[in-house]
Amino acid sequence: MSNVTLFAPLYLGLFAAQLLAVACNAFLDIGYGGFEREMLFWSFVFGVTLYVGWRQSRKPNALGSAWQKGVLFFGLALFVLVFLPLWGLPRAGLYLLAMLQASYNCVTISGRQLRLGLLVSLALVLFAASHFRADWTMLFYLAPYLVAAVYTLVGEQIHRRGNDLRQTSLGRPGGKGQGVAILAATAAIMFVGGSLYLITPQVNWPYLEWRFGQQSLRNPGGGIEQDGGGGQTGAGKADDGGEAEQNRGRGGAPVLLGGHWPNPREMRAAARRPHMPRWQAAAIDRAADFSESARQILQPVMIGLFDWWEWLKRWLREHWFALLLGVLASILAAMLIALRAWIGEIPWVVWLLSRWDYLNLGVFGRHSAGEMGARQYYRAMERLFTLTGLPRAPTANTREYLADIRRRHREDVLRSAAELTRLFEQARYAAQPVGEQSQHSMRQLYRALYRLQR
Amino acid sequence: MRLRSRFWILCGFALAAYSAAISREQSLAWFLAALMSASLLTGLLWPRWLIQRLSVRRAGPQRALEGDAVTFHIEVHNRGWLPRFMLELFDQLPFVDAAELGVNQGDKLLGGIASLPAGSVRRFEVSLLCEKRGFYRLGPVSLASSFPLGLAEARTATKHTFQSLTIYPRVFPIVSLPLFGAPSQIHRGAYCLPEGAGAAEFSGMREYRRGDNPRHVHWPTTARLNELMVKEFEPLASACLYIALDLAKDANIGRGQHSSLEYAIRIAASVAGYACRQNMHSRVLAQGAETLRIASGKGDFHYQGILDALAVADSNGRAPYAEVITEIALNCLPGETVLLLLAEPPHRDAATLQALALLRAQGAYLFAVLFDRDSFFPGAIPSKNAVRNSPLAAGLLELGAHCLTVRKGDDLTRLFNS
Repeated sequence: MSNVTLFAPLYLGLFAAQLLAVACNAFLDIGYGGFEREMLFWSFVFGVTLYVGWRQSRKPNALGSAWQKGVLFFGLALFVLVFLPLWGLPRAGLYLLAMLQASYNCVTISGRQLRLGLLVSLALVLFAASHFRADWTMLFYLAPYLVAAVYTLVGEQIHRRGNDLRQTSLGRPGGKGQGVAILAATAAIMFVGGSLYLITPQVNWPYLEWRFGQQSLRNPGGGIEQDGGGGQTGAGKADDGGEAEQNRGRGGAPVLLGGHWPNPREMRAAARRPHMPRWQAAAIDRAADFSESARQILQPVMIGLFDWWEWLKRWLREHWFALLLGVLASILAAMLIALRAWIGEIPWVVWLLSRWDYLNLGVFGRHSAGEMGARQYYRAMERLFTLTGLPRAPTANTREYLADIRRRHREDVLRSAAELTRLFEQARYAAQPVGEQSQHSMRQLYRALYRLQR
Repeated sequence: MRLRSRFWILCGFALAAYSAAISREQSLAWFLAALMSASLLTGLLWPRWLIQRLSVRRAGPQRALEGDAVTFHIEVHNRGWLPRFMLELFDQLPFVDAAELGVNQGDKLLGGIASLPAGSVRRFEVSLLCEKRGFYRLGPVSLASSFPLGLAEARTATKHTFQSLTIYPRVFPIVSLPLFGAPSQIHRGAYCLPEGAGAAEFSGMREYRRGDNPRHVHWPTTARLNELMVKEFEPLASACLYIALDLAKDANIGRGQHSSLEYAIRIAASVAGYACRQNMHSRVLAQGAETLRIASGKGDFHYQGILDALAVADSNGRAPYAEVITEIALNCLPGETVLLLLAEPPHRDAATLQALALLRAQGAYLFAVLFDRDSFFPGAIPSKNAVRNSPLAAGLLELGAHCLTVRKGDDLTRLFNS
């Protein structure tokens, strides 16, 4: 693993992740109207510090350290003069953390430092998401944050691996397409992660205790948690509780805290909140329209599905025993098939079967009529070659198997095998039925092969 | 499929995230846990899928000279219907770094392909230095991927990518060698007339004597004088060469390219090449684990055979050099020049000198290359007169041998052409 220079798109990803993490926190106070100004300020801080870091990664010098100290003092001054009086703890502490990260950005030149930057941004996001005012409207910042974080992590890994390969490889196939690889990996992880999220039942301990353990309250602690400001302490606690009620009353269902997905009416109410960014309000309105129209279209389908689901449940209740037997029979059949395949690979079983083949087909000539007889002889030939360490691959056709035999065996063995293969193909694929003469020839060829292989 | 430690670390993180999510009624915690699980799933399953439905072809030379650079052409074809990412190609190339490490079977990374669109072909070249002579089996080429997060590596060996490569010893040019002719050869019945210009020259006519080669009868003169007359030739360069190689284990000092055996083989190949160019007969004898015996012959095909044998010769024998010389003495022709490559330990000098005396008694000329053993030991400071003052060198001078001393690092071209 080499210590590689980070490339510019990774700094962009880190910038987006940090800015969106702070945006999640600033969005909590959107009602006060300072969201745009805050975002402008943090864009400038993170943009400049990451630009310094990027320059440092290309040509390290003392300037990065000087910038780091400067931003650090600036952040401390802001904390004392602005953050503490304005927000109090712990929000002021959180913004101090953001400023510390901004100062660290000035010397971020390695993958490890980049990951630390992402971790700090995750801490900011977790704080915002656990706040009692966090609701589904925060998804406009949270979802892009997750994409940016995954993109940056994946990009750093792929870039580092690509660099390692370039340094240690003997050839130079070209590193074109690394960007596509990063985007594909990000999309795949987000898609699979989203799917897993949707299908995972989001239970909690109180629910599990209620459902499977001792009798208890349905949601003990949950109400306390939400009403108490997400477990936060600080100056704004008493007021926050009241505001949570206000939020809920105006349609701000706390979906990030395990609430339900809002209906179109609630969406439109959220879009009309004071100081909501115009683009976000328009997007929410469009989402509400889409949700309404989708609901109208999907309602008959949903009713049909619900009826079908009810019918299925009723059927399962009526036929549960037959179903159980069917499942057990399927499991047994699968196990038998697996056992048969496994036995067929044991050497001494193959040896015994080959002897039985010779006795049955070669000595007594008790083969089936028609194509089935040809199959029997060909399978017997396969067993003979399996004994010599040349089993037929599951994907190999008769010609490929014959080519394998050609590489490994003498001319006389090959001649018999080739003729038997030809007769088998004739029996299997030719229009006319298999004659007695062909089967007789196959028997003679099989006997010859058996003697040669013994 | 090989799981890396970071896979288990991420497993731990995912479990912790699920534990946190189940304890805190938060959707983000569930989503983070789902993202970690997704990373684990993609890291585990995707690499396995990425290396399927790909075909690899490697084309390259089957013969090369030591010190030459060979180029292999690699072609990777994506037969699938989805693109492939971050593919790594490994190959078994035992000749790479063979000068330092010896023959090594470790996988060498040919290169990494960041992206290979569906149905497309990526071609690239790999130029490698042939560091050490030998016969090498190359392949198979393996495809590996640990995309996207390097949590697990899937690897598969491709079929039909086996190949052999023979690296011949490096030869140096020789302008002339102090070889002696074998005049008695020219009129023997078994020999044809020398083919090369200047190999023999017409010197006169005389009457036929019993035992003369009938091919040399000059029929017009015979008809004119009514008496069998034969042509006489002055042999000019009808020298024959016998290369005696010492493959005893204890006669090889040093490692890698700077071992005495490598020098000896380089000299043997160069002298054989000189003989081939001069249209001389040459043959080789050596006693390794198996006897290396190349019968007398000349021409390019014969030289190719000598190079093939020298490419794989190794110091794995136990027979002392005296045995090889004795066998040569029993088979050599009078006037034949025997190239001696003497690098054996001093305690065998007496036996070797005895065998050399026998060889000389058979009428063979000796061309001795004496290796300064001390100079081939790693870190040793050789003395210039160590070989000259040795009893073997003195004995060789007494036998009238032409002697050359070779030390580690010597310029063989200059040494043989000065």
